[in-house]
Amino acid sequence: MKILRKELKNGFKEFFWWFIGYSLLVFLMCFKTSAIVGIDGNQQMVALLSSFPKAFKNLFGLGVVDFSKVEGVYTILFMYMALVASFYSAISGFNVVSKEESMNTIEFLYVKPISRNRILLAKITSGFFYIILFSLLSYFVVIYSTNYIFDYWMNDFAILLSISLFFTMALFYSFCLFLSVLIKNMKVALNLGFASVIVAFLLLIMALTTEDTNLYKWIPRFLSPFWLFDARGLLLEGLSIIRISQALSFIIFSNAISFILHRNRDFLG
Amino acid sequence: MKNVYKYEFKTNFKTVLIWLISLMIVSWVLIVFYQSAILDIQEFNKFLSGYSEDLLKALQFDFSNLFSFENYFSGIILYINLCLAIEASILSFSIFTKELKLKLSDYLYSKPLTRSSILFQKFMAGLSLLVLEFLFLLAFNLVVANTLIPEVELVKLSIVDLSMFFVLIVFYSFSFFLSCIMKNWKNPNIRGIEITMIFFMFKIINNIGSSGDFVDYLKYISFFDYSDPRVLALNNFYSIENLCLILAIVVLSLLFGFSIFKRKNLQSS
Repeated sequence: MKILRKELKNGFKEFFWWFIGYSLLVFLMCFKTSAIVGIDGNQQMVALLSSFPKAFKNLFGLGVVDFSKVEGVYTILFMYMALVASFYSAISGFNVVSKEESMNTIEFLYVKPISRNRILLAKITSGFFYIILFSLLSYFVVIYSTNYIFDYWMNDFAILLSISLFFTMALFYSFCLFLSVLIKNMKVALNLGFASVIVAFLLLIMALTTEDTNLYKWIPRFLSPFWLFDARGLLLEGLSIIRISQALSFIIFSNAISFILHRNRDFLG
Repeated sequence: MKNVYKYEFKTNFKTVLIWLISLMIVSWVLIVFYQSAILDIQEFNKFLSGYSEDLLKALQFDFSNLFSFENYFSGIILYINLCLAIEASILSFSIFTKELKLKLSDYLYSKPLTRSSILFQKFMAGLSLLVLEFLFLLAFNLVVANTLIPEVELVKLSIVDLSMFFVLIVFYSFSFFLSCIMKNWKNPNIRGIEITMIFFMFKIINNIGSSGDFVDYLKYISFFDYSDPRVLALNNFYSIENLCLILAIVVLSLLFGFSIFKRKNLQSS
């Protein structure tokens, strides 16, 4: 319990600044897109846009999503929101083990009469607490930004967005935790983790641009967390049970493996 | 005299190589994707020629090269630039703060070398790694694009690719400056990533939607905007203003970094 309290206290500062940045991002992006919303009257523009090359149409969601509505605009914005939020969660996933190791405080912590599993459990609990808080507060940011700038209440879709934000963040958190426990060299783990976030984002772009019949579509679909919780799919189909269970199984699996690896890890003092 | 240089070059070679290979794969995939969409694009261009020119002008969109390869690549290279910026700042922090973090500064700085020569060698080691990486990436891009895409303009593409170099240089020297002024940051690598993400957030905001009143000034904040590949693809070259900004940042951070580090009280064991 003491460790949990300490972790919560330590994580707050980072959470606070990241969240301030995130909300600023959402508000400014909203402000910049306010000119786009409501131009559906221009029929020629719509006709022209609908004849874009297929791959580009899929990428920007033209003809799939109605951009005259606020929800349609948010499908684009959510890509970037998820990217920034997952960077935060990747960093906090790394900090779980590597922070103690780089600050040389790991010896002090692990000689205490608590089992390693309890230590990791407390740390993961605090990490997930902040992830849940982030996605919960993000819900309020989204509805207030739409209300303030577009004068529109977007309640249902904002709930879906915050749920999918939670899953995306949790996936990256678990993955980076797993990486930092698995790989001994911290520098390699760090580089690999952040490269994976960006590669996942590029995979999302690939998944959006390739055709449905294409076999290559299935590879990015299964590999990219951004695809699993893409806002476009949410808007059209709602939350799918399959995607959630896929994400949940990955989260549980990687956390379980991290527990086992962490128990047997030889820390650098 | 060159021992420090050799040592730093060798120790950081592997991480740079990992990034280089993964970025090569990413850019290869992106180019192949464009190749698969070429037929659609040709069809669209035919369709577009049916429209009157006045209408296209009224839409304020430059359709003549909207789907040219350079234009497509300039949109997508932003994420490669993000990778490179993260890599450059991690590299810079790890080169310049390694001794401080591991408390080995007394071993290194008691050698019969002046501080500035040690720092200069370290700086040159990182810089030459990054320049090598850039050259390989550039050559790779040009060769792949030349073989896969029939009507690519290599000069234009290399101008777009040059933005990678500027991003590398700016982030490398800026994080050099930060690592010189900081006293005791807990985890410098992660701080570097956070700083990069702040700049990237402003870049996202600039990229989205129309231009607003005060939001326009945001483009001076983000380092990514100084060498914006989209503008490059349109104008074919850099504006003098941006080049001056890049030069000013590099020179100022080098000057301040060296002069501060000379007088810094290094923490020893």
